[in-house]
Amino acid sequence: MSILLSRRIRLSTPVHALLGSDRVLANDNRWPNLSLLPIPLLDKAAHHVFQQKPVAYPAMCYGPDAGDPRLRKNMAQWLTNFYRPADPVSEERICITGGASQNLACLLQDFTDPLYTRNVWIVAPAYMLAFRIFEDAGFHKKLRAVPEDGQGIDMDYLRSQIRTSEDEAKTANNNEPVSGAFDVSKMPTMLLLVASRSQSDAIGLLLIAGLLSSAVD
Amino acid sequence: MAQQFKPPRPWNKIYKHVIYAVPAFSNPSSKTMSMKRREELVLLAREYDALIITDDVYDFLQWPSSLSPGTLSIEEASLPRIVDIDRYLDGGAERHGADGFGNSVSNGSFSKIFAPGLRTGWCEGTPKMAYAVSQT
Repeated sequence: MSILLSRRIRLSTPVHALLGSDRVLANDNRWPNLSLLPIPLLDKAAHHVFQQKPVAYPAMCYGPDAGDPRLRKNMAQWLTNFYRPADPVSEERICITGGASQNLACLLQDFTDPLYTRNVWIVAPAYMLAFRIFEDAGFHKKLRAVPEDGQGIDMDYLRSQIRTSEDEAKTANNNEPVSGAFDVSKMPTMLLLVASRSQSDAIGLLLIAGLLSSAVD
Repeated sequence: MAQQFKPPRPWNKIYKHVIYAVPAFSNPSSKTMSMKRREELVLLAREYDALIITDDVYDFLQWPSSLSPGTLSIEEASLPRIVDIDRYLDGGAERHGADGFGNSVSNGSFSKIFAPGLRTGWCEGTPKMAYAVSQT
């Protein structure tokens, strides 16, 4: 993800103009020069894959959830060589994604709840296209900026703000990551509680509660 | 008690906080977070049940500052990622009392090093973290 490089290259005039020309143009000064695109390499690699049916067919199917095992293995080796951790990066540590922006959305889906998760703390100034991903995950009113100093993130500020945020969560009794709403055995009681608030809906809800009670019993 | 939206799933967890950072060559400030600060951030995340999501997408875009360098490319990262620190600091994600998910995840992308149009990247975290991502 990047402000400069990851935005889609606009398929408007500059790119189309290239089709009839050998001249390579910078399509926009925010985006990579088109001469940087490794088209011959990708062409060769794709050709290699599609020439072999045992590789081509699985490549065109859904494949394993975590991504192609060969890609994961090669990624693990490559990351080990680049970051030099004390032990090699194992392929179990890697999941292939649709890119960093898409995966940011996936991580928020997986590991946050817009009510239970208190805040999203963003080191600012921040990449502007990330904001909407957080907003779309339900954090519109819970985004908080954290300033940088010469060393990076301002730790004293972040710590004091997280403490305040935790105090507020305690006051609001926001202590459980998951409500009991999905425990079927508790549903009749919950519905009765709701029913008591509205006489007009009470009979219908009591009927549903009764049906659920007999189903649970 | 506030009502929550997500059903419980055996393979994932809900964190209390999310911290989003670009520790190397941050965009747009261009700053790189120091080693000390990276360690402090991991410890803070552990203390408050936070998930640090880092976009490590610029790590490979580095070159020598010398005007007459011996080599034009730098083949190793200058600092470990936050996900590397979380893997080892004080026993890592498997230390006593921890749930094994870790407190950090690294987002990587081929957009900056190959072509944005590939629309492919990867994430790295603990095996539990990577598995959960594969199930979403």
